[in-house]
Amino acid sequence: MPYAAEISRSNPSCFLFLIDQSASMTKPFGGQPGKIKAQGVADALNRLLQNLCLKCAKSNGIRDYFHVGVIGYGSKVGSAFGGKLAGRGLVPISELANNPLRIEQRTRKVGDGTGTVTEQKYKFPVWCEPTGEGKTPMCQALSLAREVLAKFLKEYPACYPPLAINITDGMPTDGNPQAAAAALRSLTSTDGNVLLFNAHLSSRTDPSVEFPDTEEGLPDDFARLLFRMSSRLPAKLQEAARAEGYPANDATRGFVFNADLVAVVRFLDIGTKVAHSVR
Amino acid sequence: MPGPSRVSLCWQPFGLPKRGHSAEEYEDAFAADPRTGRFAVADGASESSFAALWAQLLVNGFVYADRPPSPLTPTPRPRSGDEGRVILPPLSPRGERGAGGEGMDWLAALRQHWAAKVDDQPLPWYAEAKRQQGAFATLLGLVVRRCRGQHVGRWRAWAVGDSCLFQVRGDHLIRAFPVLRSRDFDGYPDLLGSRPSANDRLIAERQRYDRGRWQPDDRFFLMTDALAVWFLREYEAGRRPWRPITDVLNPPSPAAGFASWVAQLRQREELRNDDVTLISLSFVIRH
Repeated sequence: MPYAAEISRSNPSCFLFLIDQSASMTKPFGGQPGKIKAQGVADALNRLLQNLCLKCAKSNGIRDYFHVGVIGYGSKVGSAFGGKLAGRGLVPISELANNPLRIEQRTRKVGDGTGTVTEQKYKFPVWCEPTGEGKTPMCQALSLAREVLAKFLKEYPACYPPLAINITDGMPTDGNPQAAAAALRSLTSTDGNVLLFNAHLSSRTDPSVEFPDTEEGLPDDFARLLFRMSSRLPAKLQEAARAEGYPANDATRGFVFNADLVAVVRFLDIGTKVAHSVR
Repeated sequence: MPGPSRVSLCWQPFGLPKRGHSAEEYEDAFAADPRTGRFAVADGASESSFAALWAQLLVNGFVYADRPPSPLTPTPRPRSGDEGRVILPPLSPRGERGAGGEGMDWLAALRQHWAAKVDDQPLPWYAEAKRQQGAFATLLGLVVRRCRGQHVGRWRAWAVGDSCLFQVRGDHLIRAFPVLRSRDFDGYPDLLGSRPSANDRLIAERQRYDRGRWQPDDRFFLMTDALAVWFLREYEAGRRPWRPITDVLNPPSPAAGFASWVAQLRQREELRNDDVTLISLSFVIRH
């Protein structure tokens, strides 16, 4: 169970996102004042999807190293894809990259190394709009995720284990999700168990927490619940996390509070990495 | 006293893409100009775009740096498995120009060339974003020169990142550069970027130099990281990894032999599935 399988086009891995689209998500987001949590979820998901696409992008197109799905849970539970991908379960990442809802033009400041800072235009694809309606059927979403990933694992039994990433404010309304989370984590490929990571977006303004190794110090019961539901980082991911500056150990879990999980995309190995320090 | 034309240099370059990838997807690069004794290998980072072009520009930039006016003068690139034998030139009294020892200015021309090739292409959003980030690659360059009138000479090497040089004398490894132990490969090598970057200064500080002497029973191996990891692991386990390499490079078909040997190592999971590049150099004294 070494989490060492090569991620390739013939043996792809999978990212399945679960996003909380319940009414509570229309409340303010503690992580970014002025935003509601639903906006925080949409931003977090769009950034994750963008980074995942970029990881697989080459000059001549996207390499299908991953299949990607998004399950929304709120007034309904099901595919949260819109536009051309509406209703789809898992799609190869090339399809995802080529079918965002829209592409926004944004600007950022870039230094050229000589002290000159210029504004650079860049394109920001949007797949997910902020939504907040209904209750929070997290248990149901976790069960659906289990179905989707079980099917994927049947097709790719030797894959690098799929990652399920749940983005929520952590207030389920259909019971305690720990059993459904454990059932999801119990799925395996020949290379290891499915990994479940949680990003907790809260209205609280406590400092953000990334990849903690203990629930002590987490700000509330919801954060502690999500911490317990989260997989421990396997040794290879701990190594990658340490290389990115996170003090990871055997107890470290795939959990963040009022922060994003984009770093996880960087942890995965598809070839020679470009460390931030050399960019 | 031996005549100056008696030592010749034998060189063989090899490049193979990852298993499951086409030749067009090979993102390492190598270049050789045995007439000037310059050799280079580079490893284009998989997570960047247009990396194969950048890696090729870097190795050409190093190898042809001694030929004014432009390091980008198109020169026939040796094909994988080609074999050459040339008379080694004597040491140049004016020293070396180009890559190594002169800061990072030489990168500017290569970066312009890269940008000119890629900047006007219409691309989808993701390829455009990767182009903005630039391409990244390691680079290892070696210069081998003969001392005038002798069968020995000097070498100098220059590197950014984890592409490696090994010098073997007889049946002993006498130099490894710039990585000394297999555990020092961490998957995050220092890289040269094709865009001007705030971290250029950092990379300039991470250039590595080495120099030494060679004699006719020496052999040099330049290789990108996957094969270098294997080489060092074997060495650390008390084996002599240059022996199987030397064996497979023998005639009649060194390219096919090398490809089949690499496929076996990958199959046995002794070699990570990555692009593999090797330049082998040896010397022959003609009596």
